[in-house]
Amino acid sequence: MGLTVMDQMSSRIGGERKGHAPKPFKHSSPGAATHRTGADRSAFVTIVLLIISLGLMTFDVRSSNEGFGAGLRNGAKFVAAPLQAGINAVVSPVVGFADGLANLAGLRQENERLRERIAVLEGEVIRVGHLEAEVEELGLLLDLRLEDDLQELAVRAEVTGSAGILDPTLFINRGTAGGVHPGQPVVDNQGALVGVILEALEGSSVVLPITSRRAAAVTVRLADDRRGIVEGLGADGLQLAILDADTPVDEGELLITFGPYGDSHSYPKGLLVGTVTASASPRSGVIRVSVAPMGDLDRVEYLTVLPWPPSPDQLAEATEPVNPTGVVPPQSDPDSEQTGP
Amino acid sequence: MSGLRVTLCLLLIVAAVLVQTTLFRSVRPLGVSPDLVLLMVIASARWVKPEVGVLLGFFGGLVLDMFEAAPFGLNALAFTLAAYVTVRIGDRFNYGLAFGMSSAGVITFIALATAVLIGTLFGEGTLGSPGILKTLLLVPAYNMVLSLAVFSLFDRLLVRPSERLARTGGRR
Repeated sequence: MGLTVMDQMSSRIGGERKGHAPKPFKHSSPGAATHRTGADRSAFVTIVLLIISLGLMTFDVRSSNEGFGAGLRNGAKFVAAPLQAGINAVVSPVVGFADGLANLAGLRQENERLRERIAVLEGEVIRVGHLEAEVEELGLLLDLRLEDDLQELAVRAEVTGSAGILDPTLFINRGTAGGVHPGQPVVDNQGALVGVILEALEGSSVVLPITSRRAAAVTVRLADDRRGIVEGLGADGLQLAILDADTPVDEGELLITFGPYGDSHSYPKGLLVGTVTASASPRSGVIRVSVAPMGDLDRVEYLTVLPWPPSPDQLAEATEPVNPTGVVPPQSDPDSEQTGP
Repeated sequence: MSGLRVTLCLLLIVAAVLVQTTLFRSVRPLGVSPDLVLLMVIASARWVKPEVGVLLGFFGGLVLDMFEAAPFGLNALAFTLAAYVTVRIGDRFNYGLAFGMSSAGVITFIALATAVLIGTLFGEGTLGSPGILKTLLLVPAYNMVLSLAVFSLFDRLLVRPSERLARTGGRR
């Protein structure tokens, strides 16, 4: 293809005027028209590459993302990190400025949304006030102050990039050297749960959003102290499931993490997860309803990684009551919320 | 020129991966970003030999796989297929601007749908995602619009000045 796109268009229009059928250009752009033999070869090459791709996928899935694919990914992220930081340094101010201009009209809606969120939160504070007092009392009894410890040990990080059209992940600029380890929860500046660390290199990490289907399900507490499970549906979607439900859930109801429960150690308690998007009643004793995540993955620039567990070793020592850092390790006891901080 | 073209295409694909993972994290109209890497693969496949075009598709997908959490090789498979479709209908890109843009959109849709279906077979569950239809429709639409700029970029970068002059009859 030698002519520019515009040239081609003019040529096409001219051809139509004269009543000629469109003809492919004959020039140095190879394409299928000038490489029939190559096109035939390309079918064979395509089949081979498709088989290789399927083999790679099978191997990667069977090795639970820890095989050679993980090594390649780590290497690529290590090499790309400085380049991405450079691009971000140039692009972010421009995008921010353009975004600000474009969203001037949307600021009013954003303010409205924030007001509604404040109203929900204020209502929630009133409703769970007595529970907080009870928890505080229990925490004092145990001489534990988990949230303070978590905040002191938390690692602040900048979002440097993202990948994935169908199932996005985020990159942050802190890694194992900064105390970040796979499995640790990540929150935004508002304390809303964003995701969990999927992979950690020395200087960078990958965050898997809770909206991803791959993310661990989050056990949440509702305002009336009921327990539910929030699962990622992909594409910014979350779903709340309540088993053995006998009363409905209301639109706008706030969901917070329940803390360690059963085999789930992924999240400490008290993190904002999302709000119920519509009222729902139980059907056959089960409620399933969509949830709007609190964390805004599209716009978040800074994240906080919570040391939960502080290091992979802590997970193995999860049954220990107190660890050297002072952070309560995850408990496998279902009643741990009564004895936790 | 062929080697230079392949090198340029490789560089453009790598650059597209960097832009995709940085700029398009922020630029997401309606919550979806265009697939610039796939568009670069489509544009590249038109400019090199068919089998090389397919290899470029595989390479582009593999590089993108290194940055994603999806099974390693999923994008490589989808992009290889997209590159193959591109080289098979390569001459039709020259039928006009509208046809070229719509071809880019259709090939993007084919690649995305392939990734969704194969990903679901491998346990990704993307087919059941609530916003999957929006993604499957918007990404091709964005790529159609972007193809105007990307194809023009390849026109300018990969045509020798002498060829351009010869084809335009000396017109500037």
